[in-house]
Amino acid sequence: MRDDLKVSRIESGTVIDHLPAGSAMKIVKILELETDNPFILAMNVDSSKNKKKDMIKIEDKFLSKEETDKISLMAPSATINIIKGQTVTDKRKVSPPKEFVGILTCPNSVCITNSEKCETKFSEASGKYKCYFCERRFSTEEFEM
Amino acid sequence: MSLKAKDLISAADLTKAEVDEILKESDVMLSYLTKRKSPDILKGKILATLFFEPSTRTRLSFESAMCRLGGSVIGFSGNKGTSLSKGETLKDTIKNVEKYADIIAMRNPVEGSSRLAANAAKIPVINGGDGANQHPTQALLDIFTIKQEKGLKKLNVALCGDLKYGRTVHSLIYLLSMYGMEVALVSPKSLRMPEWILEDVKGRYGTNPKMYESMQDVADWADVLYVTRIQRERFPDQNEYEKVSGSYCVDNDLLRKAKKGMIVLHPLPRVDEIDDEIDCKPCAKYFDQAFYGIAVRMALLKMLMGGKR
Repeated sequence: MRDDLKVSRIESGTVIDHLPAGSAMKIVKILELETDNPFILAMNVDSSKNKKKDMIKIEDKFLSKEETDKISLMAPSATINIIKGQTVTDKRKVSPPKEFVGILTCPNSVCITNSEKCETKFSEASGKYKCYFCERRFSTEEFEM
Repeated sequence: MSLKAKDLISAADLTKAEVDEILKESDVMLSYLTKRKSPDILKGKILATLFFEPSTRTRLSFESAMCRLGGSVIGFSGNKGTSLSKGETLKDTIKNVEKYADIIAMRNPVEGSSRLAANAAKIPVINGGDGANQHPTQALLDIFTIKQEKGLKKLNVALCGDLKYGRTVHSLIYLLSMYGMEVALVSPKSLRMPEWILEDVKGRYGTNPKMYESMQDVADWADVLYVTRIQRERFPDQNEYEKVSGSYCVDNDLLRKAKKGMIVLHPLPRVDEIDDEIDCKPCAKYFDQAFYGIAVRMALLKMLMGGKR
């Protein structure tokens, strides 16, 4: 059976496809979907690109590029489909944003953000991400997803 | 350009125009100090010194600077007996202290803590050291010392010792680079300057320091030898420490090879990286550094609080 038929189609909204298997719950949290519109999760479905993948379908909500880029480190190969009247009106990939706010955990264990509750902030600096607080720079591979 | 109501958290935040202004103001403050004058520029103002880890020079220097400007000081050293030992967050502590004081000077072992404090506070916050990250007021007094002793020209500066965990050198390399100085880094391989700092100063100023493992290698090159302590506890293998520690001692033997007019600086405290016999030599400027530090901190307190002469 085709992956997209395992879960019902949506009339309009956003489909986030090609998520790494097991990542969907975390992505729901990052995109703050729990308190908003209805959404459908499909996890560990067969994929032609990778063996397994996750997928999220959000009804009646059109996520902006700014919003979906937040998941670029966790799901670099994710594709975003904007659906209107059961037709794909926009298809795009995710790309790393200039800044991550409140999403990533600082890999520096002695950074204040790991001992006191506060919103983390990382800004792009020469291909790496610099922690606003401890000032260290990290490559994307250093972040725990 | 005004620093009024700003925070001082990292040397990386400073522009050259701001550092120029701080050095200029430090000159004025130095003249008060040398004339033993105490201007009442900050009369009625209160400095809170929040030192969550031990400090001798930095805390006393801030307190002395505030007293010399006619202000008052409240604060603590070590978090024993404070609400932090009862589990209060740093943010809550700061939100209270800002009601008691007009400016905060803070040292905390956790990296990024001063930035968090500055975000929480409505009054200016000065970073007096946040773990192994930054110590911008030390860097400012270091560059002021270099200016006073050698002039701010194209000098060769060797930073020696623990460059990995030493917050003073993490700040100083920004200011040296800002003034176009040639920088050499001398440390054991395991204690080299972190890559992210090297990338940053290279990107901003084009600084590309050469690396060495012995002070002997830079003795005849350096105009300024900036020495920091290598801490024994940084070495899991004590034999390794014994092997390297000898290469990081300034003594008469090293000075015989030194470039004429070279000065030796150290943020202090020292352990055995500068032999006592050097203290009386003209090149030994590390105690003068502590004196210059009061002038620089007077300048900073005045500028951040907008005091008028």
